[in-house]
Amino acid sequence: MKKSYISYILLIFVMVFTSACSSSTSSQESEKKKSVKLLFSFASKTLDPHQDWMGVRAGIAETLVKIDENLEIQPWLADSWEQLDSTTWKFHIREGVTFHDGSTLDAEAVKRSFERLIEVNEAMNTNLKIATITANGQDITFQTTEEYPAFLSELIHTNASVIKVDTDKISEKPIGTGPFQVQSFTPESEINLVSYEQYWDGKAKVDEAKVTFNSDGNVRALALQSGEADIVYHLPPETLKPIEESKNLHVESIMSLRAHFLVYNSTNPQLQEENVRKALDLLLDRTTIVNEIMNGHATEATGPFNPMFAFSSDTEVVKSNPLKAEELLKEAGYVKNASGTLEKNGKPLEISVATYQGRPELPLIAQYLQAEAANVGIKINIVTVENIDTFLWEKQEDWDIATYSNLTAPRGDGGFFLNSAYVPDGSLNPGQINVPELTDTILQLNTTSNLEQRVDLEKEAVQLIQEHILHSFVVHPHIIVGVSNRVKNWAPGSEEYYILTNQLEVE
Amino acid sequence: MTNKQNLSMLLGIVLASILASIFLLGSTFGTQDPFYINMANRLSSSSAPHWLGTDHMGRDIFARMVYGAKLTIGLGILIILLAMCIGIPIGLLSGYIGGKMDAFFMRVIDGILAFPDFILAIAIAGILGPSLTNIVIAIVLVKWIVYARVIRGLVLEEKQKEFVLASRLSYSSTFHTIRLHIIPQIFSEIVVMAAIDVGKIILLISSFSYIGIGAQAPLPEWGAMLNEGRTFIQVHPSLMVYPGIAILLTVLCCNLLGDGLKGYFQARKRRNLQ
Repeated sequence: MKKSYISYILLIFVMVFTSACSSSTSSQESEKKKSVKLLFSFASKTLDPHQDWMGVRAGIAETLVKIDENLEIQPWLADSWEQLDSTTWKFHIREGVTFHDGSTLDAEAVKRSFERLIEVNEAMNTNLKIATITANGQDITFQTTEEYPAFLSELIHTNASVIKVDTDKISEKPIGTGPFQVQSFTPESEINLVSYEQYWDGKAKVDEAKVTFNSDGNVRALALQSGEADIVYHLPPETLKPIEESKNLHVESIMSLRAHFLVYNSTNPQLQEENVRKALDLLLDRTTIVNEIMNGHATEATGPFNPMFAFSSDTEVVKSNPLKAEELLKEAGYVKNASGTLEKNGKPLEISVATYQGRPELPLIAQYLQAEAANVGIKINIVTVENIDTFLWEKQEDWDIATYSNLTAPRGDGGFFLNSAYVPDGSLNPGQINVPELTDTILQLNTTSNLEQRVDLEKEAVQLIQEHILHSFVVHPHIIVGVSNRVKNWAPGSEEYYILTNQLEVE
Repeated sequence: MTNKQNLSMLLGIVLASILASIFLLGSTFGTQDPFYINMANRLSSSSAPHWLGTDHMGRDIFARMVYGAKLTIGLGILIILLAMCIGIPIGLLSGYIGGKMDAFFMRVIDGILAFPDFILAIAIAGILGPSLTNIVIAIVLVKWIVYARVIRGLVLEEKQKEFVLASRLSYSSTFHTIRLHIIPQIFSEIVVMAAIDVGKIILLISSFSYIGIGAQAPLPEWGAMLNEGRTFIQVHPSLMVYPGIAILLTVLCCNLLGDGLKGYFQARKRRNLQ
């Protein structure tokens, strides 16, 4: 009996010892490996780079050309290009680039990738307007269906990335040419990546990377503080104080290519009056919104485009002026009724503002406008919805104004936003804006390739938008990223395209 | 009435008195406007004009708490009354008349009870759209069935009693028998149920507002205040602590009073029987 006890104890001892040894060996191995953890806000349901942005963001796939920190187009997988005529573009594919499976990247592989892209992504098919693709060695030639000066800048879009198409696991394990290859992917949860040894621009300085998602800004901020993540995107301004005070963390705040703005529903007769829109615009105190709601992490907007662009508005920031707003409304025939609300022909000026929590500052902007509007006699009712896009399109009679946010010049060119937000039937035009003069300018822009002329036309469009207050642009929010001090050689870009790079290093 | 129930009643009354005095004093003597936004004075700490400080829009937290009390408790009582208005007549008729009518209502109730009430209310509110009115409709639609079911059970028991049979034999009308002989017998059960339910309903309203489908900004419903304060939990936890404590104490108060009332009515019944 005693003997069997002793043998049991010995067995347990041996087991504990071996497990301790094995865990110490594995922990030594992981200590040697350099890894970085990224926590992002919007979750990816698929990893297919032709349908999701994470392919380029996580360094899995790459595009033919990229945009640099000055928002200028630079070579990437294509090392040179030329426009042969108004509809033909020729690119030379960089030599020595290999896919993660070791196969060489040539023009034929690029052609097959683009053929798949326009087959699976309807929006990109419409954006790129490709008629034919011809591959010859390392040279690839695109013919567009019409004269299309914005073709080159559209190639920057992350969905236009080049991937190996003859694999059946593109949505889980796409094979790209980037510095990281996918090890495993759980939709809307996490991506595990390892560095690709033969990366053409030099192996990544970290061995592995993990990308996780969480849509709650507070949770993201806490994850950074607890060390669960090294880089955390889109932190709410209110959560920054403890991060800024920490010795091990810092905050990067850079101007984005995005604008927060008010969308007016032009089917509402009251909002069809320019004076009403101008009055509402004058009630927005942009300086207070930047300082108080955005905690300084934003720039006052003077139009749709970030002021760093040549085609942005030259005008000054519109200062809040409730007195002038009242005058404009009086001019438009509005008088205060017994309850203090403005009305015209017996109809009170009562407006429904739709907002959403996805960007926490937008409901606050709506509330601030509500309070300012109440002071001059405009009644605003706020409705917070879960999915703003569905609500704006499917319940067009239920809202008058919406707080919205969009990338207005995602690829360094304003054409995309102008076409989507101001042309009738545009994909970002739920307010059904239809100003013939503006539509003509945008259509003219679409066929203009000369850069200076494009800038002039875009400026002309911006001037019309601002003159008629078709939207009220409030602020250009900054991209706020919390970073652990162990991360070196890394800074977020305003384009939000290239996050995990081969240069990123950790201590 | 046991000692425990006595204590519950006492604690409930004390807590209710304290809460009522705070909110009544606040609403009578408070000078701050719960909706006045002052960005220059946001997130300030307690001071003479702002007893509990100000929130992220510079609004007075105490004034909002007082307004929120009226809104949250008032809606809780309104919902109970509406649910009772639907549930009690259906329960009474279903139990007393029986037959096909009873079978019909009970199958409807079984069907609705098959879904968890919280999920069902979310679904109804989701279809109707986010607003406080729609939340009231959603909760009433879910809650009336509980009253109908319980009251039917009580009526089934009461209608077998001799005084009810005597009333029926003397050709009294259905309405007369229910009003004079059944309602007084089940009244105490309804009151106890309603008292406990107010607490549950306050929690439901606050939960819906917290997830964004209830009260809309700038209404200071307690759940909505909790939601708005969420992003400031690390830097200004008071934005969440005050409405959180208010919800906790109010629900606790309802439960204690409900428990106390239950004991009181049970003791009275026992006395009557003796």
